[in-house]
Amino acid sequence: MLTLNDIQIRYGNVTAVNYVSLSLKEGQIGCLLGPSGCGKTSTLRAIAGFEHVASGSIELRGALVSSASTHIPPEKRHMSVVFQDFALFPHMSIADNIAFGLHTVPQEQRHARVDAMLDLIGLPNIGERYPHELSGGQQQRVALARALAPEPDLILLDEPFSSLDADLREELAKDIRRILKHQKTSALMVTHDQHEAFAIADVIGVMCDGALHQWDSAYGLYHRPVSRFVADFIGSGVLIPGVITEHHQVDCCLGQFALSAQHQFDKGARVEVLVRPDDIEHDDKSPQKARILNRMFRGSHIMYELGVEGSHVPLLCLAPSHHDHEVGEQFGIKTDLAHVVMFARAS
Amino acid sequence: MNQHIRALTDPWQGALLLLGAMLCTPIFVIYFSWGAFDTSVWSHLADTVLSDYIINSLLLAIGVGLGALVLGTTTAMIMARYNFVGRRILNWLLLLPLAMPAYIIAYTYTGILDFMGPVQSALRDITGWGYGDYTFPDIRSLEGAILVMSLVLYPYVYMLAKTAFSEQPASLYQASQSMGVTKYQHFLKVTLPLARPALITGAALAMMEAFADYGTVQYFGISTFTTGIFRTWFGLGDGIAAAQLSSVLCTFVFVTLVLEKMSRRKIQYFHQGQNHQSQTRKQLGMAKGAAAFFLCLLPPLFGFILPSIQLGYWATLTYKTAWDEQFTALVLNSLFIALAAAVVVVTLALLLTYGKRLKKTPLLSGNVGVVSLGYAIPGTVIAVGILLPLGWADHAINALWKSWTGELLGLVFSGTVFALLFAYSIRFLAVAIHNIESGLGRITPSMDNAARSLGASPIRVLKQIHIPMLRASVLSAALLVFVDVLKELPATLILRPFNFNTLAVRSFELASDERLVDAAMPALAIVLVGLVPVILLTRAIDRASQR
Repeated sequence: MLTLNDIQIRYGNVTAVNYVSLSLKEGQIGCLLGPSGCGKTSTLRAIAGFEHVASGSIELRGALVSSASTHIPPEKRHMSVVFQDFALFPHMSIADNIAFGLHTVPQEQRHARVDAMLDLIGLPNIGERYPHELSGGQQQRVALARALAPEPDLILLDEPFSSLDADLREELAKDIRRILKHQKTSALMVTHDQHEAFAIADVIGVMCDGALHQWDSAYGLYHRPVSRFVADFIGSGVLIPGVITEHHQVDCCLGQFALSAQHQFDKGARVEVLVRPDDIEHDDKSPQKARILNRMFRGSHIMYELGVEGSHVPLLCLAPSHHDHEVGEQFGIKTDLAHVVMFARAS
Repeated sequence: MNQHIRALTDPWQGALLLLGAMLCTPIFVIYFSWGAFDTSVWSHLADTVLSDYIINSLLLAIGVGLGALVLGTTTAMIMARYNFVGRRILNWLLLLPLAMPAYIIAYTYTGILDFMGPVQSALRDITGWGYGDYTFPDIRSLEGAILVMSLVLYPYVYMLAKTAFSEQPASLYQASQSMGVTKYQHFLKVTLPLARPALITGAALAMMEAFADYGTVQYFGISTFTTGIFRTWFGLGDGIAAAQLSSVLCTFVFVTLVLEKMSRRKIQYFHQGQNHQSQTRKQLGMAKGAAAFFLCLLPPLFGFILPSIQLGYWATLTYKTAWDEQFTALVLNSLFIALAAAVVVVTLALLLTYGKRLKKTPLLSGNVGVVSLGYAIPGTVIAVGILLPLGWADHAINALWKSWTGELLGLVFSGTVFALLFAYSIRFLAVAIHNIESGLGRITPSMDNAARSLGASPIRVLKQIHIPMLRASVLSAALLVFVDVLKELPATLILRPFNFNTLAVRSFELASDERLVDAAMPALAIVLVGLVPVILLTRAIDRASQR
C-alpha cells in the first residue's frame, strides 16, 4: 500500500536519505530503525509530506504523492502522524483534539467517533480534560486516538515512546500494536530502540547514514544480517576471523563449520564470522575450553565474556543462571552456528 | 552568497529586512554625524562640560547598578531561602517599585525631604531647631539620584536573582555539607558564582536604565549625557553635536551590553536542565522571621509605598480643581498614543517573529536580534536620531513643494505622531518580540505538522492553532508596551507634536516648575496604570513557581 522508490532527501549540500526503497503491505506495521542521524525521521517526514524528495517517488495505494516534480501537501495525504512530543493542542480539550481531523464529519457522527476512540484507548472519561492534566502515557494514547480518528490510510509514528519512562514503553508498545491491529490500520514507526521495534513491527528496516541496509522481519535481521552494520546494530555478538577452506566450509578459532547457504567468497578468502551469545552453549563436559574474563548477572541468565585463543575480542556466551562460574575459571563450551554469517575481512 | 541574494529578492523577506534597516536608521544617523566634525564645538565641550557628562553618567550607572545589586540580591536571597510570616505579601510588594517611574519618585522625595516637607518639619518640631540651625542632606544630588533610582530599579536584579537562587538544586548544598563546607563558604563559593549571570544581567538592565534616565537627573540638576544632549540641541541649537554626544552615550550603553554578554558566555553549561529537587525553604521563628520581613519591606516601603502615599495626599489636595478639561485631554492623549503604539509595535513584532519562524534564515534571525537591541538605546538618543533625518526630509520636501507651488507645506514628519510611534517602536519592540517569541515557542513545529496531517489547511492552522495559542502573549505584549509608552519621558518630550501633552510630560513639566502638588494627579495616574502589568507579572511568577 506504501511504496518508496529510490527516494533521496537533501538539505542544501547534505544528502540525508540516499536511494531508499521499501514497500509496506495493507495492515502491516513497519518500522525504521537506526541510530540518530541515519535519515529515518527524514524518510518518515517525506512520507508525511513535510519534506520534499529530491528524486525517486513515494506512492500510497498506487497514487503518486511525492516525487521530484510532485508534492501533495500533507493535509491531502490521508496519513496521520503521532509525534515524539505528541503535539497535542494545549488550548483544546481532549475531545476537541481528537475531533480536529474530523471537521468534515457531521456533528453527531463526530461525537460518536470521538467516544469510540476514547473507548479504544481505554480512557473513556477524559474528553472534557485538557492535555496538561494527563500523564505522559495518557497523552501518548490520546495522540494515537487523534491520529486514528479520521481513519487514515497510514499512521506514521515518530519515536512515539522516547519521551516516556522506560517501564511504560513496553506496555504501551503492546497496547499500540493491539489497537493498530484491531483497527487493521497500516503503520510505519521510526525508532532508535530495537526492543520497541521488535515489540511493534511486522517488518523492520535498518538504516545507517541515509541508506536502508535491510528491510526484513526481526528474525531475519538477527539471524541473516546482510551487512556488518546490521549485524552489529541488532542484538549483540562479535566478529571473529576465519578462512574459507572449502567452498562449503569455514575455519575459525572455534572450529570448522559447514556452510549450507550460497555465498560469494572464494576458497582461501579471509572472512569474519558472526558469533552471537546464543551460538555458544555452556557445557562443563565439552573438551573445548575458554577462560572467563568477565560476567554480568542478568537474572535468568548470566552473560559471560570469554577469552578464546585465536580471537582478539572476547566472545559472549549467554548461560542459564544456575551455571554459576567465577572470573578466571576455565569454562567448557560447545559452538552451534545454525546460520553462519560472514563478512569480508578488511585486512 | 547566492543564498543571500535570493533572500534579498524574496519580497516577504526583503520587506522585513527593510523594516529592520529602518528601525536602525537613528543609530546610523548618530554615528554618521561624526562625518560633520566641528573642532570648535568639541574643544568648547571638552573644556567645559564633557568631563562632567562622562563622570556623572558613569558614576550614576555604576552606583545604580551596585545599589540595585545590594537591594535585589539581599531580598532575593531571603525570599528564596526562608519561610516567614508575611512572605506571601512581600512576593507582591517587592515588585511594586517597577510601577514607579524614576522621575516621579525623584520629585516626590524632593517634596518629602525639602525644608517645608514632613520630614524636616517633624525634625524641627521635635528638636525646636529653626532655619539654619542644622544641615540636612540634599536629595537633589548625584547620591540622591543613585538612591532613588536604585529604589525603583532593584526589581530587575531581584526577579532574576530569586529565580536563580531558588532553582539551585538542593543536592549542591548537600554535597557541600558532606565535604564539610560551612554555610558561609557554600554561599560564597557555590551559590553566588552560580547566580552570577543572573545578577549581572539584572544589574546591567538597571545600569542601562540609569544611562537612559533624563527626568531624574534633569530635575536634580545633574549634568549627564542625557541632560547634555538636551542642552546642546535645545539650548545651543547644535543638532549635530547633540547627535555626536548621543553616539558617545550609546557606545557606553553598548559596552555595558557587551560586558554583560561576555560575562554570561562561559556559564551556559551551568543550567543542565535536569529534573532536580530545589532546596526547600527554611522556616524562620518569630524574631528572625520578623527581622527578615522588615528587611525585605524596606525597599518597597521607600521605593513605592511612601512615595505613593505622598502622591495620594497631594492628589487629595488638588483633585477638585485639577480634573478639568485640560486633564481629560491629557488622559485621552496618553491613552491614544499608548494604544496606537501598542498596536503598531505588536504588529511589527508579529511580522518579524513570524517571518523568522517561517523562513528560518540566519538573515531574519539576525534582523530580529538587531531590532531587539533597541531596548538598550536611551530614549533621548533615539529621539535625536529620528529628529535629525526627519528634519532633513521635511526641509527637502518643503523646498521641493515650494519650487512647485511657491508655498510651504509645514512639518510633514517631525513633530507628528508618526515620529513618536517610530521612536516607541525602536525602544519597545524588544518587549513585544520577547513576549510573542515565547508564546510562539510553545507552538512547536510538530503541532503545525500534526494539524496539517490531520487535514487542516495552512489558513486553518493559523486560525485554530496559532491565533488562540498566541492570544495571551500578544495581549501581554500589548499591555507592556502600553504601560511603557505611558511612562516614557525623554523621547516623548522631544518628539511630541506641538501642544500635544501626555501625562508623563505634563507631570514632569509641573514638577520642574516646582508645582509638585499639581504634578501629583498625572503622576498617580501613571503609577496606577503601571500597577496592572506588575500584578499580572506577579501572578505569572506565582503560577510558574507552583508548577
